[in-house]
Amino acid sequence: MSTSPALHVAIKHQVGSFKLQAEFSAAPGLTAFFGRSGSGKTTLVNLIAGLATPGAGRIEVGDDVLFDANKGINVSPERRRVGYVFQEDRLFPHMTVRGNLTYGQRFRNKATRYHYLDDVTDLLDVGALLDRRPAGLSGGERQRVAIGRALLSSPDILLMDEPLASLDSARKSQILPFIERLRDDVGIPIVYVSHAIDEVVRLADTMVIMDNGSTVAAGPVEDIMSRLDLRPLTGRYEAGAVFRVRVAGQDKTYGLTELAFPGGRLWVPALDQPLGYKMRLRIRARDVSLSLSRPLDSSFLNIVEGKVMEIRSEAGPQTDILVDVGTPLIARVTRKSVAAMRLRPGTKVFALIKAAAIDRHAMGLGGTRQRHKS
Amino acid sequence: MGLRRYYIYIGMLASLVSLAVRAESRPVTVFAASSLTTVMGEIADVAKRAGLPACRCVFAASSVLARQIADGAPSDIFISANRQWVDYAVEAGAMDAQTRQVIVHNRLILVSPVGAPFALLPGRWQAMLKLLEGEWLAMGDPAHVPAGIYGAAALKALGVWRAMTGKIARTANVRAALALVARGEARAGIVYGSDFGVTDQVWRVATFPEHTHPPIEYTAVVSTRADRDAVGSYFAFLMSADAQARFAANGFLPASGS
Amino acid sequence: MALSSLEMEALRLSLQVALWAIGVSLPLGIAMAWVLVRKTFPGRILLDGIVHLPLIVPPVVVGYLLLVIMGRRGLVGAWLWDTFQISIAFSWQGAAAAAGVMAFPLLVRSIRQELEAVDPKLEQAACTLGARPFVVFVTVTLPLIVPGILTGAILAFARCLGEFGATITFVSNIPGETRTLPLALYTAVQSPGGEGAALRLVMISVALALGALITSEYLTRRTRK
Repeated sequence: MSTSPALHVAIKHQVGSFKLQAEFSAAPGLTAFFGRSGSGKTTLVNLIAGLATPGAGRIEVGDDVLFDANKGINVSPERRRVGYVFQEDRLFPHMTVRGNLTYGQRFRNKATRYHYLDDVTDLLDVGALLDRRPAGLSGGERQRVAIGRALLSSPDILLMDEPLASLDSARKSQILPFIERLRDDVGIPIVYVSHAIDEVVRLADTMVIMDNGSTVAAGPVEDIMSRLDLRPLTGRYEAGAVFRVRVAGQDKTYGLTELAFPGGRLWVPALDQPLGYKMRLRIRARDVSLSLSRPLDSSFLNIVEGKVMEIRSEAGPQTDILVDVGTPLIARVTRKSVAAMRLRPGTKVFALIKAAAIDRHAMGLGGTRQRHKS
Repeated sequence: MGLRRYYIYIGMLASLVSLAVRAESRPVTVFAASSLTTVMGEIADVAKRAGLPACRCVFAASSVLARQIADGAPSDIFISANRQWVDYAVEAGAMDAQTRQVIVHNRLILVSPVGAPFALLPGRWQAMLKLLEGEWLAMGDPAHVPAGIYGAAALKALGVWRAMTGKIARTANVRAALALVARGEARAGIVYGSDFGVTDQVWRVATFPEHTHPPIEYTAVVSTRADRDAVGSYFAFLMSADAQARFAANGFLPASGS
Repeated sequence: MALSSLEMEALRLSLQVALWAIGVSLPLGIAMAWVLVRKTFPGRILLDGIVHLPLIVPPVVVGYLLLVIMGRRGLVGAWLWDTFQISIAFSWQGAAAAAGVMAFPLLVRSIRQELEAVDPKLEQAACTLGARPFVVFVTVTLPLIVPGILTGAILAFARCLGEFGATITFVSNIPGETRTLPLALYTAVQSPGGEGAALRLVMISVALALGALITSEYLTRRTRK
């Protein structure tokens, strides 16, 4: 078992006037590169793939050094065993789906091939498309083929650059389960670039935040998402705390599911998952209200007791408050209320969360391999 | 549709076509003045029947041939319609001066299209100017074609050159001049006596007096790099009675006299 | 309409010269198009201009330049002749060279247009899948530019069939060796009584040209499907 991280990057690079500086290590699993457009995510992925060469630094995947400026090591892109799924599928128009999928296989001798056509077509459900040409496929089908093609080149790491960006939301939700399957069933580390927080929350184990060419923070998703100082970068409107939950019960009468989490129980709209099913939940900060006392006659189904940990005040009427309910939870409250309630670090509060507010998009459904950090 | 398939097709076609190149013993290559076009063909047939090697002839103005020979064109025998171009080829080192031989002579004549004949009273060359008013006189380019050089000399000697210069249609060789007259494109043309029998579309107006131009001598010479046996026998054949008979039948005059 | 042996010879020679000219030019044309489209280097515009010169400059000029360089007394030709006894002047190989040079710009233009339409991102994708640059070219780029290659080749082929000025200047007019259809026609026109032969040669030339154009159209449609 290798002790080195799945991916280690420490590089500096400059393109024109854009300076990029990235330093992070990623654990096995799916690592998301998250940031605004233009923050350098795609550039960073291209540097890892070898399509561009950094000015200085070092890139390692597992035990393999792909780039080391000091030692003069720069493995050419075709010899780096990276699988790259691009934003535009870039399928070869003059080959069938089968031809595209198997394109990368021939560059690996049989001993190092560990993915086979049948497995991959099952995983991505492209069996019916094998003899068709890319031109006749839908966007979602094409991206699945692109993923399969990258997989079949037996890479040591899979790079995915906003693979769902060119799809509409219906297609996206169709493909996300396939990517979750990838994460859970295929053993290689995945780098997933996105500027959509809900994709990141759903898919990622590790999160690297990029802003203006620099890696600002890196770490497990739950930790990053609960850091108030990163709120401006993680996206004010949609962001919120992320934590792990487990299905604890089903209420058929009212169509609700009970989730157990470190702070107690939560009711959410019904999920068709078995008892004990582990998953990840994001609760948007703007859907969390605070009260100094437990409300008795309110519509809030989810009332959780906790303590104020941190208050982050900024210009503007809103404030983000980190509340410890057994696990970090972020609430967005007006400054006026903070003043009126005299909220301070240490104040005991009750967090109120509307069950209806927790929708499907907020949930990261786990795959067949139910992982749980103990 | 594989690109490879097309390459195979092209390759097959190309080799088929080039296979058609008969691999035979190398023929004797003769570069000859264009006025010899018809007669050399006949001589080649006679030579073949006599058992001599086959002959491949290239016809053009002697000037053009001389330049090509000097540039390295593969020629075993060169027959020029004037001395100047043989000298040129010899000086370029391509032809052997010691093998020089005059093989035939020729005369210079004035022709007109058979459908528009005209006559000139003997000695009344000035009348030509009036007759050719607004018309063209076709002849080989006086700058380099032997027939044109002889023709210009004749016109100068007759005192009509200056008046005629604007009416001259310069052609690349003497047979081209003949063709222009035969087609009726030119009202008159200056060609060799031997050219007259080639086509029945021209009318002989007059023969230029011999004193008006240098003697028209056809000189043959052998290449410095030729295979002496094969070429030598062919060369000698040109002087044989059979060959000379063909020359005479085509309107050439024998080498030895007028 | 029976063809005399002279006309058959001219036809065979024309086809032979054109096929060899295209056969040799094709890989060179593909390589040149690649260099002009995908590589940047100082002097690229100059190279572009030189490649296109035969389109604009009088064919006789090209023939003369070939003579100056490749003739037996030429800059390169003299060395070849003295050392290896090889010379292409006054031979069908020289006629093929003259035709090939004249048709080269047409070939390059056509391939280049097609190559410019190929998305380099596809080549990048092939690279990340493990393909070395040459393999990328053969498996991805080349199949995608086939229509341009075909069109260019046929256009160039037709141009070779009709090549006159450079041919007659460089390799002269030797029957059976360099007397292609246009040169045979030229000779017939210059000979008294050559009208019959001229007419037949004209008809052969037109038929060949039409055949080439129609084939070009057909192939372009098939490969663009």
